[in-house]
Amino acid sequence: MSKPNSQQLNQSRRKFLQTCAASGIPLALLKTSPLIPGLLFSREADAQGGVNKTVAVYVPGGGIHEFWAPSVSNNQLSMGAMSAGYDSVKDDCNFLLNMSHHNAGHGRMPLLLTDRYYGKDTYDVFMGKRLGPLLPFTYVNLGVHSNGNGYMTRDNNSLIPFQDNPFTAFKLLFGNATTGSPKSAVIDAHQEAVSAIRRKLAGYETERLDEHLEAIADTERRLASMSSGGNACPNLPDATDFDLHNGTFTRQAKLQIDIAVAALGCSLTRSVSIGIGNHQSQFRIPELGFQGIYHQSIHGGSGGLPNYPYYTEIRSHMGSLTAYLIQRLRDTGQLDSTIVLETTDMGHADKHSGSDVPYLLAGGGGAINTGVTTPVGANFNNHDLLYTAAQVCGVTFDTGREIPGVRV
Amino acid sequence: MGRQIITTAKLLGQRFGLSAVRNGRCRFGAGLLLCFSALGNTSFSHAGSCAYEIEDEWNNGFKGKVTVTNGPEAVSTWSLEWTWSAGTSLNNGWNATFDCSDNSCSIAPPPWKSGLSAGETYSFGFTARKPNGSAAEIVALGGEFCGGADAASVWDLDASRSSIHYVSVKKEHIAETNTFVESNSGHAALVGTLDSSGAARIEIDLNSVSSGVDIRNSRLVALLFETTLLPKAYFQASIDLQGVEEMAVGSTRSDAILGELSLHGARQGVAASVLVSKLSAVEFSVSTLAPIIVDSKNFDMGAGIEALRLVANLSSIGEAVPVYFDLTFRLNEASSAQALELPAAPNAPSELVGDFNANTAEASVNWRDNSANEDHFLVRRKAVDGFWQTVAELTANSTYLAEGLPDSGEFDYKVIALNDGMPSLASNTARVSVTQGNQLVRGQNIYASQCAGCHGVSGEGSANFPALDTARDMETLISYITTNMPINNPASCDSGCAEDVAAFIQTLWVEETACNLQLSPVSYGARQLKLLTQFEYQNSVRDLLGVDFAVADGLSADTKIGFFFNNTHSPVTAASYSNYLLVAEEIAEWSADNNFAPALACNSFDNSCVNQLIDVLAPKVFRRPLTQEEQDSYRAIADGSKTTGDVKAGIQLAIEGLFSSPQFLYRHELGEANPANNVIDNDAFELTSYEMATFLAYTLTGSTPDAQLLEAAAQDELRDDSEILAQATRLAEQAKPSLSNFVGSWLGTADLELAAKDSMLWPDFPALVPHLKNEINEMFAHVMLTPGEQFASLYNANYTFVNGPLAAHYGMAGVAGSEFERVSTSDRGGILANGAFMARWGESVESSPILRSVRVRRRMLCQEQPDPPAGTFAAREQKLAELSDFLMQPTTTNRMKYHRLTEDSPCTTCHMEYINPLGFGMEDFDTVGRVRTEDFNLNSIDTSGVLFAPNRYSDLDQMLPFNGTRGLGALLAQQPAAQACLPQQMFRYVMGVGYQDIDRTDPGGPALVSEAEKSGYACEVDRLQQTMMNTSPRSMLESFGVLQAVRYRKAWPRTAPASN
Repeated sequence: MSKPNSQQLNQSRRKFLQTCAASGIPLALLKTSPLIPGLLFSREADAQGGVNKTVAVYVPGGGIHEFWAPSVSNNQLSMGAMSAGYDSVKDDCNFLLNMSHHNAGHGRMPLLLTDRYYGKDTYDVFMGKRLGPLLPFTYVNLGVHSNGNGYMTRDNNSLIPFQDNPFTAFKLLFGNATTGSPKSAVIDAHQEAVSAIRRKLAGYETERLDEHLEAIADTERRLASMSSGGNACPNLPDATDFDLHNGTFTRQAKLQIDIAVAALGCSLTRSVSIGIGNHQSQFRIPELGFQGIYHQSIHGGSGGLPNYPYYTEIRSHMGSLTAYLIQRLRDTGQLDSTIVLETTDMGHADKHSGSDVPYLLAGGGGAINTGVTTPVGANFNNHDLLYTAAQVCGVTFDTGREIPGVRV
Repeated sequence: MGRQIITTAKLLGQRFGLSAVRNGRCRFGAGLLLCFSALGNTSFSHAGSCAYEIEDEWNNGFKGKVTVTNGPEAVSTWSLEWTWSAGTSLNNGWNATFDCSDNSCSIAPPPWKSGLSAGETYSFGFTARKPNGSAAEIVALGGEFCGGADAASVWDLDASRSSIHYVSVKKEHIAETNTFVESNSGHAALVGTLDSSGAARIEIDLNSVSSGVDIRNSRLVALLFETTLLPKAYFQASIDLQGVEEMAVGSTRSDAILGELSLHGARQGVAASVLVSKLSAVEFSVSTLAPIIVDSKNFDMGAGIEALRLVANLSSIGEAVPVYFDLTFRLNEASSAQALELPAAPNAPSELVGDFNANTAEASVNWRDNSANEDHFLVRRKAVDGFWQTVAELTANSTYLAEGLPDSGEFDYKVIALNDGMPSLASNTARVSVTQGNQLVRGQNIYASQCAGCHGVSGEGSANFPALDTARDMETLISYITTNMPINNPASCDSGCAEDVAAFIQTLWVEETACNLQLSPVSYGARQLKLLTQFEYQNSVRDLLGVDFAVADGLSADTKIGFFFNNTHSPVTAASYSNYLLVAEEIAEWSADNNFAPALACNSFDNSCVNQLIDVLAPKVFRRPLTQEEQDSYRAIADGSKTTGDVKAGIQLAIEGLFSSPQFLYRHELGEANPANNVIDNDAFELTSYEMATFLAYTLTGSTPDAQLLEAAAQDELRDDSEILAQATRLAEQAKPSLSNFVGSWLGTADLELAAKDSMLWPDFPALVPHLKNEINEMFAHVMLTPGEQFASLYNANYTFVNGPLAAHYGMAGVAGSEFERVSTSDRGGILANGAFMARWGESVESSPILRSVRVRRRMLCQEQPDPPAGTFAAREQKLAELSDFLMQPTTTNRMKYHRLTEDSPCTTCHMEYINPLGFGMEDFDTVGRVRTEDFNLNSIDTSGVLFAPNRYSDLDQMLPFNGTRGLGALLAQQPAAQACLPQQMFRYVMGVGYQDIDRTDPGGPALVSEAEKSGYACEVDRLQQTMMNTSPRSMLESFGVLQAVRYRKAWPRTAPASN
């Protein structure tokens, strides 16, 4: 990614006004919009408490059970070498052990949050449609370094790549419409144009064009709902530009997490998914000791040293990013009303194993046991993790079953 | 063919006798109704049963026969009526008096049969006319005499107060209760009625079985009941309704009932001793006093029980189960009350005969189809002393089945017709002597039970379990299976078993569709809506607006298919649309800050500036003239009327709209019908000149069409091959960025940063990365664009392009400065013996023979080298610990290290031949792309290598030894696979679809369906290859625009997204 020039920096500064204010949709439209009561309703629901938000985190590359599973003595958790990154939030977490994966390996990202390739909403979309259907963003899916593979989220039949550019995500969520331009004229013109192409195609490729039309309508709706009058969004993260290359992996991940936490805090959405990297593990974290890519730290990168020192180092660091999310939710007072799940695509990654897969749940404000490990067993898998997290929010997910001993 | 329909009451009447009702009544209804009324001696009484048969049939008529069988009481008079559908009418009748008009008939008995004694049977016949060619109509017999229900009184089964339980016994002594429960959607497990004749009909939804364990339920349904075709069991019995009605409320009595159970395609009489309790005037219950024993053997369920036993790993499952029921009936007095209609049982197939054909090793059976109402046939087979099992489910009207059997022996067959799950009686049994087992069937059975779970039913693979649907070396396959498969019990499949499985796997191999001019005399591409990629968007806004900073990375990520970014099938979603708006807003604001220069030249922001936008800029953005509607709608934005009169703000908004508009974002290839073009089919489309201008511009320059192209399009010149070629020749001069984009994706060198190097050893490597990339880009563009250059130079050139820093890195003298220049060298040259390729596929300190080798095979030879399968590395830690000392020794070379790491089975399967010898031969390049003769420990480098299976992955017998990377390059330059691979890759890059598939890795995504489409693409790839080899790579590049598959399009079908 090339470095933005000074012109763009100026632009960014102007845009990053920390408000979610008006977008220029006519006031008359707002007054008659059915969205406004919906917004009010959701705010009321927010005030009533309960667990009404969810964040699904994907950490690629599993973990080695012996090094990841925390040990317990005197009711205190001691983290393993691979899970050391979670130490600061261990009392907010339930570490799920010995579980399996329904289909372990690379290339599974589209199946982490659902059990189907087509025709079903993934967990983040499913939950968003139930927890915050009328919010400006039904769901927000973010990530770091998709490398062309950021496909975890499916909205019915469309795969939605995660947004791996935090500055774009920031603009989309918070930096909207500082010019007060009446975008509706532009949007109308686009709508007409898509319809014209659709007519020309006489039935061919219409599904894609219908999606385009839906996307336009959805955006119109979102712009309308975001302009519902000074929905001030406090405590926005510092989105000062920096280069989006491998050298800044950690910084990108943290900014995406900050953006997610702020979006939840401002009731812009109730459901977030974050992919920290991609299934090929084609990324590196240069501030660590190991300089190669994550994939290599797992396969053959140990140079004869026992116990996978570099895999352990990177995996623990990845865990610290989930921990950062949990901390930020706690700091902003949202952890009790949010269920966080961390999923992955395999167990021991050097074997691409489908057993002893490390997962965790966190938050939930007493709705789940925390500060513990749960020896779940191989009869439960990544879909049961989703089901259980959804149950914490009072939602029944369409696949999986409840993992016993997790909910209070 | 004699077809007939017999009401169910006939069966009941014959077997179990009939009960009386008080009110004889005749019902008329729409459609085909036959009504029989009878007057008994003492009271109105219903009679027995009626059968309506068609004895003979010809083109415009048929011969019918009606047989009535009286019930247990004599009747003094009777009559019959029916209505055929329009077009059918009586011709002639005998043995009765027919009074017919049009298609309605009243039949009175002849005087000597006006009364019928108890149980007496009487037949009469007729001939009738029917519409020419239609099937003779079968009249369903209704009316209570014929067993039809009395409309006024139907007793409904109260499902909420009724249950059927059975007890299964496993492992000799563990008993478990099973029942049938209402489904989550509220669908009742039991449905039933009792009509006024006392005929009880109960339907049991077998999918509702509840054993208390979900997995067991699903196994019962799938393995035992086989509910896909046999979703329901039916129970029919006759109950003495009069006796029940006469019981006092609160009283009970015991009774014996006889009934028939239809289950799993078999019908069997059952007897039950029951307690009848009168609960109220309108309710009574019937419950078992003693269990009914249902023996699975009578219902052909022995094989299902055996399957259940195996899958649950049980020592035994009881073959007979006691069944208990407790049914409550309640009188339904509504006038709409209707008795449950069960599907009519088809006539049993007959004349089943079987044979064995030793040439094909197949058993075959054929039979006579006697029914007109079947929807399926079940063919069942059993070994002489084995269980019946369903071997085929065939469609209606089938009369033949051939199948191979795994082993020789004697087998019995029978056939059952089904109507909506209601079985006929079974046909006769035919015995076939199989003298020879069928290897494919043995292999298929083993594959289905032991391989398909991981490798997919069609060998498509899953997760890390490799696909098996492409050709392999058979010997390797057999030995791999023998040694390693199945993964959890490798000893269980011996070499005979492995040969069987391999023979079956061979049938799963998908052969590529080759060019077939019969199939595709003209190659048609697909009508496509390609969304601009980030690369194309960035270049376009640079050329259209002068944007000189990176904006396209704000767009949603491009989709990567194969090695290339490709938005041919990507949808615009809410998020990506928002990103288009945001990016367009940013560039519009930037443009406004520059007073729209250089795109517009406006001294003031007024109407003439608006005109310039609409008349000059917008057509360039849309790559065609605007329609009147488009002009109007953008003018209405630009003129300031939406921006409180501020025209500059209006123009800015219009620019924002243009650069996020569908017209700009879709570089479509739709074409239009062209009747004047007699080369193409009627349903084909020809690209317009504007679409061709767009295609040429983005393909060759990666950007929007320039003025010359748009001018040629305006003259409609771009429907002519010579004009298209002339433009392509011109544009090829600007093709380097697009070619660099291609080669960077193809060989992965665009992401060279990902292959970071040890910063202690090579602190300057990051600074070299852009130069390394540029070297391979220059090299590739040179071969592709220089007239007279040949394909072979890509792999065996003895020159390359370096600048000062790179020359210093490589240790070359005589080059300085930042400019690249061509230098001759015997060390390197081409795209393989190349710094960027070698560094990209290397580790941080050492080279990686594995990564390099796999990239050569996948990307340069276009072969599928599978990923390492899951779970085969159980002993990884142990192996690493064992090798720890060896790996630390200074005498251990990289080659030795990787040899030892992969020396055990199953790694050897791929590493021994396919991967290691190819990669080891490239060890003369270190991980930063320099040639070396010694490693860090001053061990000398062994550069001997072997390229196995160069042209077909399955052809392991072919092996080509080589020495060093340049030796390998010289080989690749000559290999047909390498010569075919570049056109194949470039075809995907340019067209947005592969020549055989859209995306192999997305099993649910859209896929090419038509063989003609694939054949057409294969022809085009062949033509590209010929042009490249016979003329030059540049000619191939220029020829894309005149490919038929580019110029001509069809709305090719795509598979709909499948639900997994």
